[in-house]
Amino acid sequence: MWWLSILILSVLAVTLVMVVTASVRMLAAMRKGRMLSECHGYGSEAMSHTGVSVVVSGRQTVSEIERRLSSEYWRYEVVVVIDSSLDARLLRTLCHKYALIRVSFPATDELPIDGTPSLYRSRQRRYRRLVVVDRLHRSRADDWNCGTVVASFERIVPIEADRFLLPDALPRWVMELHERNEHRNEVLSAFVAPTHLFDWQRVAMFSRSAVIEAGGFAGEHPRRTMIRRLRGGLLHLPLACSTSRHHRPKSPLQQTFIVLGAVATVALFAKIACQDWDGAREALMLIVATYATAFFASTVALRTRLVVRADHDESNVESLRRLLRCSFRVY
Amino acid sequence: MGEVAGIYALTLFVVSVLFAAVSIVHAQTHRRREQVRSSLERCYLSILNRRLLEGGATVCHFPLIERRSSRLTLARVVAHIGAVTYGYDRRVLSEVVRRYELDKLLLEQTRLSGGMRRVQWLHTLAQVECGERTYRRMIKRFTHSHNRYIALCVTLAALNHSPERCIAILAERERRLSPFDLAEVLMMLKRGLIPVAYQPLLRAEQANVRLLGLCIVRYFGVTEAEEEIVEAIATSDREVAEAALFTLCALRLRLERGEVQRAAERMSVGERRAWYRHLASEGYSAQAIAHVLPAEDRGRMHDYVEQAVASYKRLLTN
Repeated sequence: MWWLSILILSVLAVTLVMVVTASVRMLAAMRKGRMLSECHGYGSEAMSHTGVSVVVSGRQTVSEIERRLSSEYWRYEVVVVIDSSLDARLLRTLCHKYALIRVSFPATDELPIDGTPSLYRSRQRRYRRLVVVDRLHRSRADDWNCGTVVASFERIVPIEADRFLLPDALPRWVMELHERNEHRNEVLSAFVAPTHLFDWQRVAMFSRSAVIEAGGFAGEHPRRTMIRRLRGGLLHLPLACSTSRHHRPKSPLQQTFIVLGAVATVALFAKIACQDWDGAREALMLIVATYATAFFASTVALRTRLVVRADHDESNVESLRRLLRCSFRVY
Repeated sequence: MGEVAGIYALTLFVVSVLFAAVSIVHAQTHRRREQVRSSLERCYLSILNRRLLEGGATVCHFPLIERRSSRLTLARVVAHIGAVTYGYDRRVLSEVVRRYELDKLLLEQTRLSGGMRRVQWLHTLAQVECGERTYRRMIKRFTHSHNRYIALCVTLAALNHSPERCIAILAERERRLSPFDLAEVLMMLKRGLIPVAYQPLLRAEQANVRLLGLCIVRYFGVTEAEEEIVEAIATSDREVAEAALFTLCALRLRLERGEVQRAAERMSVGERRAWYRHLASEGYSAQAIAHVLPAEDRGRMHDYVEQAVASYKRLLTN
């Protein structure tokens, strides 16, 4: 029994340290964001040296596309990859609304692309940040490769149709890129909100040439595979948000506590069955320790949330309810 | 082992409860303070705006100014007005700073805070007209900081304090100016604090000064600086040469020059492709880009350039 106790207590202690570290990093990133937002040069044309192409794959509405175009970053374009065979009306509406004309798709050998995609750009200067690619949808990776080929800028952000960049995302991303030396960062990833302290959902800004050198996106999880393949860092702050609920995976932190609690519970019942009351007491203490760690992790998460959302008018009662809900969710 | 687990659990429960209570109380206090601060900010802003519009030598009276937090709010308002207003009477704001000793207060606040909060206060201090003594103390304390934001604030404060030494200050700066740093300096320039004379900046030896010069030329669309930009392209400093190339394209100037072609030769294949795509998106024709293709690219890149340019033009077939 003693080795199990030591193992569980060690895992709990490590988890505790990781939770506190993640929270401190997130708060530091948030404070930096606040400091930058008070600088008047931040996000201005002068600092928009690095161009960014956002490549979007999947079914979306006109209003969603319009929302993507509203970023205040200067050198920015949105490459929307759609399939008109599924929704012909969307392409017609886009062509009419943004005065799109069909232009020739660059037939380069940079990335392998299946089929014959059609490329549309606006003839009006004010809509020049919108680029539409119409092709038969095969996979997300294929759509992103197609968008990468037509991207005008050197940095690309591939995202799904249900994810949106936060208003301040691009200046912050580019700023961090410059700070960490642009040439050394082939990829710079960030979280997707709503986030928790051990979020695995990411969005990433890739270097176009690095993606092409790596042979483009591939597989069922193209972004994750590419992040692993290229060199780069992680920003401890959310830069995108997701509108769909089903994308949100279970928190790894939550899973850790469930496993530890379950192991201690099994040990408790085993000891009770053997009528070893000292061992049962020890197992019970381990369950309580797991719950206490989960409770502390929830408190740290609450503290992070309260500081990050300081502008939101949240009452004390609501905060307490959130804490209880948070800690209840762990089990 | 059971006792250890028990003590661990009990300690964590107590710490969690205390931490949660402190967090909630802190959040509540913070929210209340923010509300008071924003009301005071609005009030101070309207008083100062009225004073700046009316002019004259009347003394401004600010409510609750005896409080330290109110004086800090006033300092932020003064810095904000200074940062976003063009051609205002600087004496009015200097008088407010001197009367309430806002510069000393800000320096003290900078000393008390740490991390990004320190940078925030230092940035505010760099934007107000601080007295000679405070300025000296600030320079002495922060000039050798390794934090890039603190270094930027020190540069901004120096530029604000003696704008006529702009070139010397930027030349003395050891750290390279990032696009964000340049944007911040450019904001000061837009407010009319630094004289806009791009020629001495572009002809300077130091990379930082040249980068600022190129930024000014690009931002204000100074096409007369063509010769200086071409000279900058030929420089051995990679960053300056890149910025000069970018500026040349942004101003849509002629590309057929030996310097441009040599700069293209120095780039890697990936960088060259990115540059050709950039030229195509800026509206250069395939023929214009063909002139700057290095000899090794003439065969294999010719189609790439033509396709990149064609992808911006209407497709007449189909």
